[in-house]
Amino acid sequence: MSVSVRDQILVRLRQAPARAVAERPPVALPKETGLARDDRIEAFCARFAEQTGIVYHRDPARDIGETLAEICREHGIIRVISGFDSVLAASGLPDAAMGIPELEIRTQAGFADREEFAEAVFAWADAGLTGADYGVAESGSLVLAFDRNHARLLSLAPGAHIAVLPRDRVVGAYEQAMAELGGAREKPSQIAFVTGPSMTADIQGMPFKGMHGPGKIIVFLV
Amino acid sequence: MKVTTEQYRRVAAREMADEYTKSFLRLLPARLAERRKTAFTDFSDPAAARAAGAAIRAGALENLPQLLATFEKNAKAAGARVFWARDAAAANRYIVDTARENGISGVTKGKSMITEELGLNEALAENGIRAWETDLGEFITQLLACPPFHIVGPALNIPVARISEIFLEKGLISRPEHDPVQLGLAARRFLREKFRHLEMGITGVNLAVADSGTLINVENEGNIRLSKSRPRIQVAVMSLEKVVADMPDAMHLIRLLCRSCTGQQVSAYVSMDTGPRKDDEIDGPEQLHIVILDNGRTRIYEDPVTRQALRCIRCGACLNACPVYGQIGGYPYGWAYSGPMGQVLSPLLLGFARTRDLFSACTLCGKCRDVCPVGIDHPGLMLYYRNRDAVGDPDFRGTGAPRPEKAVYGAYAIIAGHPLLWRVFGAMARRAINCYARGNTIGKGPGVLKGWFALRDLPAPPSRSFRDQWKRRHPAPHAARPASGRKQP
Ligand code: SF4
Repeated sequence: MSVSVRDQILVRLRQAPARAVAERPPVALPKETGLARDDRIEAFCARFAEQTGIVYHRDPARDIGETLAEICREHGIIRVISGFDSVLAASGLPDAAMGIPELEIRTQAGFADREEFAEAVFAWADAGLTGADYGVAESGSLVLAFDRNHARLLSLAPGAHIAVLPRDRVVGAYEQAMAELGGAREKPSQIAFVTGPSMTADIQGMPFKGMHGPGKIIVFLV
Repeated sequence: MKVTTEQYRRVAAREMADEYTKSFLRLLPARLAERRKTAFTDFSDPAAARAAGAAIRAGALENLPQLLATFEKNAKAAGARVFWARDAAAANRYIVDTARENGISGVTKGKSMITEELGLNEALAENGIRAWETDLGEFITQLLACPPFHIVGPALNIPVARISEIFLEKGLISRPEHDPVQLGLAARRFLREKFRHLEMGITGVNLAVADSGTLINVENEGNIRLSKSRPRIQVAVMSLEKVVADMPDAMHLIRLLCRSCTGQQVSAYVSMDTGPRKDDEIDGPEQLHIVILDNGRTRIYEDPVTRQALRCIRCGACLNACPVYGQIGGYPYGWAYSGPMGQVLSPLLLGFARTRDLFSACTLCGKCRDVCPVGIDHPGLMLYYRNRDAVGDPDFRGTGAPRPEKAVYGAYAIIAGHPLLWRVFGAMARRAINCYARGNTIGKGPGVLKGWFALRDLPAPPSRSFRDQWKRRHPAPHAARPASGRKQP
């Protein structure tokens, strides 16, 4: 039997002469890993805002649904498609949202197939509502791990993305978030770091938001 | 994509005469270089951060066969299909066949240098499959059929009027539009339809993580995420050197890549796929095909000197640092890879015969090496190429130096090896050269030297050699002087 291309390539690579590699200098994790919880959250919010992300904080004295209603009002959002990931579910927001009369809410679980779902996220929804598995202070990034309760397109196809982020899920560096997610029994098929809205500066270096993905990204800290 | 590396000189001359390109090049590279520098100040020790980047990439290359095998095993375990392609033709054939089997007539594409190297769009078109570039800059260059000007912004230099014209012609807008934002939004509307309906997405790969079988893409627009999330079929094309050992290594490289590329701490989107979607997910690809491409890279790998070229993470920092790129822009490099990155890669991938001008057009100033986040020694490599070319190394398709050049250096070697010949030759040459002196400088030379003097002056040699002058000042015979341990001049 003839040798496969794969084996030919690997054999050639294995037979190539070895070369000594310089020792790797130790590189400290970003300084945000050394911050206390509240400072970390503050650093996250500052970085997130630098990227024109918008931050809302949960007011414990108010009903969580009320704040969501306010967010949507302020940003002209009426039609929302919501995921049902563990973070979002734990926040109680999906249920609370159902009680807001001026919003039209559909949940991802309510779609029969991917076509119907895609049509809705592309053409119907003003915003996608999801949980964020982690916030990373070093760059103000959200970490989203996708699964059957958290579709990829929710944070991508509609014009706005609202992400619920628990305060105790803000870590200092990417490595910390990835270590937590990598330890899970079932590995997500896709993980995304989202840092600010979709953007481009490809025409004459003129920056603008909302090139292909959402032009607006809102984090709701709970 | 058509290779035009042979036309380097012609295109460079054209670009240097182009006022628009010139005004553009006065701004862009300097601005990007400045942003990069600022971004690196986040690292507690920027030099160590770069050294670590170099060590990660060098270490990954030393373990390349193991890492590739591990990556393949883990990607397959997660449900991906892996295809090894010896060359561009094999990769294109596999992708075309995959499209055909699935009844695909159109695909969305994320920006990727590797598919330009493959000439994939052309291969798909020949088979009746329309490929839509979806990165805004890449989309514009595709419509205009021009090569990328800069790796970060392939169409950054295109005037709005020209974009407006082509968008009108293709029906994206109904009247002339000169606002970049409105033009961008018109492209968004147009491409959104493609994203919504096309069932195959093709992307490149920034990094592949061996110990989890994960593919990583870095971008700002969201077109890559869309290409990986909406269609039923996803094809990821990676050259075989993209693999690193684990996630922490990948995270450090992402920090370096984004800062070196656009001066961002991180791009808007970093997406990491491990296998296709799970059965119970409502979006994401049902099939994930990973094409691992060789296309001459095992040969680059086999030579321990050229191996370092495979460390490149395509950040583009070297373009912004290069004084030559700063004069001529991206077009003269004639292929997917421009600037020092292209001067290093294209000769290895295409052979020297077609790319000699690329590695000749370098002043060896080393600014590219100083900014490279993975420690590539571009000037060292280009010297190596010049040497391999001069001796006519068949491995590089070097043709050897031209005969007259060989004859001149051969004669020079003989003269320089014999003190008497050297003295006679020196005296003659001195007199001959000084015929052309004006005051203390020589500004032109005869015959073949004309070209050399076109851009340079030479200080006129003094009428007597050093040895002559020494003898006059110290008339005592050398042998009588106490030995100072110094060699005879
Ligand atoms: S060779 Fe250039 S593009 Fe490649 S990593 Fe180095 S600086 Fe970046």
